[in-house]
Parts: sequence; C-alpha cells; structure tokens
Amino acid sequence: MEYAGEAAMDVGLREGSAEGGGWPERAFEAVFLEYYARLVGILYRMVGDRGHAEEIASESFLKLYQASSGSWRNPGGWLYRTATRLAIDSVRAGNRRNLSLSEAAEAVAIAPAADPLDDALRRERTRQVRAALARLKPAQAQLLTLRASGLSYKELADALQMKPASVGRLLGRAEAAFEKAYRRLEAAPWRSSASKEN
Amino acid sequence: MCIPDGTLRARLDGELGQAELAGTEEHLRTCARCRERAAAVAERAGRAQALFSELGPEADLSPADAAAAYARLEHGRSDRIVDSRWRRLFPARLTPAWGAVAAVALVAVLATSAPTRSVAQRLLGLFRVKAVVAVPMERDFGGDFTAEKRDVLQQVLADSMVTLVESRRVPVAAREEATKLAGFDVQLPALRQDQPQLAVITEHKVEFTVSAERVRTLLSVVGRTDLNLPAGLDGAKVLVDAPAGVMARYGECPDWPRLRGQAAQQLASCMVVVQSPGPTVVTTPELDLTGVAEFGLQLTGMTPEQAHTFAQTVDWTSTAAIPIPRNTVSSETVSINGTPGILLTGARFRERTDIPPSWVVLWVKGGMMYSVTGFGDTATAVPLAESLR
Repeated sequence: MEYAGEAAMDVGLREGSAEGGGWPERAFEAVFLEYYARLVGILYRMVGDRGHAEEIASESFLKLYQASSGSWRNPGGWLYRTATRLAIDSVRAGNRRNLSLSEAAEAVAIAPAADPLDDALRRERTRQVRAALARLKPAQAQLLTLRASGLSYKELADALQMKPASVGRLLGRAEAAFEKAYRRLEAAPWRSSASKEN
Repeated sequence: MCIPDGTLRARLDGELGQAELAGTEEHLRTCARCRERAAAVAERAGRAQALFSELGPEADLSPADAAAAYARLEHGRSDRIVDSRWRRLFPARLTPAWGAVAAVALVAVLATSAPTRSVAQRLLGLFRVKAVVAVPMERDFGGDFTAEKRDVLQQVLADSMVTLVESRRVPVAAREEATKLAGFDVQLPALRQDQPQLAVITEHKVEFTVSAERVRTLLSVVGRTDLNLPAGLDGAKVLVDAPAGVMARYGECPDWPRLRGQAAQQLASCMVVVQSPGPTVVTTPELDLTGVAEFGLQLTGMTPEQAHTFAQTVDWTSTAAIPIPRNTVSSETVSINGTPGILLTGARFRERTDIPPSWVVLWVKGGMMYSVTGFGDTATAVPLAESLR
C-alpha cells in the first residue's frame, strides 16, 4: 500500500515541511572544499592530533550547516572563529581531564627510558605552549593562532569581529599575555595541569 | 607625537597603509624612544612566534583529503541534525535499535510492502489488522520535521531492522496471474473500464529489538523528552510480517517523488488500488500493547489523559492506527458497503495549485486491507471503493 501512505501523508510531510536549513547543496560543498584543509591545518597545531583536528573541523562545518543564514555571508570568518574556539575548549577540557598533578610531574621528571631526553623535553615544551595558549582569553588565543597561520589583518578582523585598525594593538597585547602565561608555566610546570580552571 | 604600540606591531606585519607607514618611518628616524619601543614590540613578537613554532608546522592536507572528508560528512548526512551530545553518546554512528521505538510506536502497516519506506507510514503496533482507526496528530512531526530529521528517522529505522524477507515488485499481466501469485482473490473497481497495470508486491518480513536508550534519543529528535517509556519496551523483540499484496494502477500515475513535474491533467486519471492481507506483528509477551499505544498517541500530540482514554477504546491487538498530520491531511469516517473505513484528504501542493489534492480510502474487511488512492474530487472516492469486486 505504498501509494496510500505516500499519497495522503507523505504529501503532507514532503510539501508541508521545510527542506532543511536552506543551504544550497552545492554552495555548502564549495565552502567545505575551500576551507576544510586550511582549518584542519590550523587546528592541528592547536590540538596536536590530526584525527582530533579533523573532528573539530567537521563539527564546525556541521554547526555552520545548521547556523542561521547570517553566517553564510562570511563563512570563512565564521569557520575560523568557531573552529578555533572549539579547539581551545577541547584543549582546556583535556588539561582538566587528562593531566593529573602527578602525571604532569612525571612527564617532566621521568622521561620514558626509550625516548631521548631531548624528545621528552620538546614534547613537554609543546604541551606547555599549548597549555599557555589555552589559558589566555579565548579571543587572544584565537588571534595569535590565526595570525601565526598567516591570516591578514582584514581576515582576522572579519573572523574575530574586531576593527581592522585594532588588530595590531590587540595582537601586541595577546603576545604579551601569551609570553607571560608561558613563563609562569615554565617556572611552575605543574600549573599546566593544576590550572586555574580546577 | 609618538607612535602607538598597535601601529608598531602592524608595521611588523606590513599591514600599515602607505601614508601611515611613511609617517611612522619618518617619526622613528627622529624619535629614539619610539625606536626602542619598536624594537621591544618586534622582540616580543619574535618570542611569541618562536613559542608558536614549538607547535610544529600545520597539518598539510590535500584537496583530495578535503573531498574525502566531505564524502564522509555526506555519508553521515543524517547525523547532521544530531547534536554533538548525541554524537558523543553514539560515537560510531546511529546504530541499530535506535529507532525501534518509532517502529513499535508507529509500526509500518500501511507500508505493507516496505516497512522502512517512510516515517509517516509507521503505525501503532498490533498483532493482526482487522480494523483501521485514524489518530489525528496534534503535534504532527510536520511543523519542525525537516528533511534532515526525516532522514535521521528513516536511517535509524532502516538501521534498526533486520530484513528477513525482502519485498519485490513483480509486474503481472492479468488479474488471474496476480491472484495466483498473491494467494487471494484480487478485486478491481468495476467503475473503471480501462486496464490497470498490475503488480504483486511480495512478502516483507522484518525483525528488530527495542533499546530504551535509542528510544530516548529518538524522542530527543522529535522534541519529546517529556514522555515516559512504556514498561517492557527496552529489549522487546518485534517481528513484522507483511504478506504479499497486489497493486493496480489506473491511468497516468506518477512515480511519486517526481510528482512535482507531473502535469495536472494526467493526474486526474490516476488511481491506485492496493490490497493485501493485514500484516501480523509479533512482540514479546511482556510488552504492554496498550501502554505502547498510549505512548504512541502521546507522541502524536495527545495529552496523557486523552491518550489513556483513547487507548482503552481500541483493541490494539487488531487495529492499525494511522497517524494523520492534522494540518496537512484531513480524515473522516466513511462506510464502504457497510464496513467502516477512513477517507484521508491530502493538502494541496504548495507551489502547484493546479495539482488536485490526493485522497485515500482505507478499510479492512475479512482480514484484507484495502486502499484506493486518487486525485481531485473526493466525492468519487467512496463509490470507486465500493465498486471493488
């Protein structure tokens, strides 16, 4: 009785309801293909794991797909802002969840025997940089990250919703805050786990 | 006047306009303090950059990687509407049993030939259909039921079911052949003189197991987390067996999804008669069918009290409840040669006011379910249905 069902009710559902968010399919695909690789590249530096970076990128696109049409006008800026924010949240959550005080101490003090000490130290430094970044105000961390990835001041202003003329000033401040946060972690590495958020 | 830090910082990045840059350089030549500050800004930027380099280079993805990622996203298209909470709950993807509720609550009876076809066709659970009853959906899934949501539900229903016997459509030349293949006497409307296209839709049998967790997820999709699950639902096994049926198409009938492109005058001649023995639904004995019915009725928008009262009036072991989206489909009770049935009238197509609304007459007689579908004047519906012989 397929016709019976479809005739009476599917008509109602098919025609009576919206077709979804309203993204023209091709347009969304084009945006995806334009920005995906770039986003994953940036996110990879932030989270240090390609799979995780791809997940965050995909989540950002899903959010974009569902977002109101206002976001479509500047999908690039919207994506940069959303994805970097998700990455910051993820790093912060990871700091809280994964690193107990003892684990952090262990990572610094007892490098696994099989690894050269250099490697262990470098990994630790990488983690501290990431942790320092995550402790900044999100907007500062986003600004630093996106600038380090080569976005122009205009692109930064679009993505982070600031005036292009303010970018230099805010960037300088963010760099100062970044350095300060890193120095504090360097002086007291356990802070990278027993952080303020706890 | 001295240069602000922000300008000095922008200068490093080559982001100053020509005039501003010239002015800045001019000033720096004459102002030692600003030169010092410029150096300090540059050093700090350099240190921050050095720190950043600890993070290593960016991941280098090719366009092919992006295309592959898009394909994955497309493949999981139905996940789109599922918010991230759920994706964390079901990391792999929407796996079986997820929509079994819907299947229990809205078991496919109308869609005897293919239970996974459409959410709208899912009906309340029962054992063997002897009657049909229309259940107006106050809160039909229509309002906020986007194509994506429907995709999710359909995917989930498809995922949750194990098809034991897959239905096929077998075209046949004549009524006698259809009768022989389907195993019952095929009836055709005497009011139509033209030859129908006949097809036998063979038996379809599916089985699924309900998981309470998936049910709750499904409820979230339809925005009804307020509902309590009926007792015995979790883990209930359900088997739906839709016997072979016969479809007779008269006139110029469209392939349904392409209806938009169909000329109105062609549709006027279209009529479809479908008949099949009522499907059987077998569930585990612990499952309280009246409870499931109440649940399903609340899902369609009744208050708990209304659902309870209504559920008591129906023998759920033998009645197919057909959810009617109230805003797009209207229903009325009709008599087909003395047998009670329902007449459903569909809404018009939004953009195609030239296409007449569709109607369906449904009734069950002697264990057989019948439906007659047409377009346009509903006054012809009952006489056509009554002319079956």
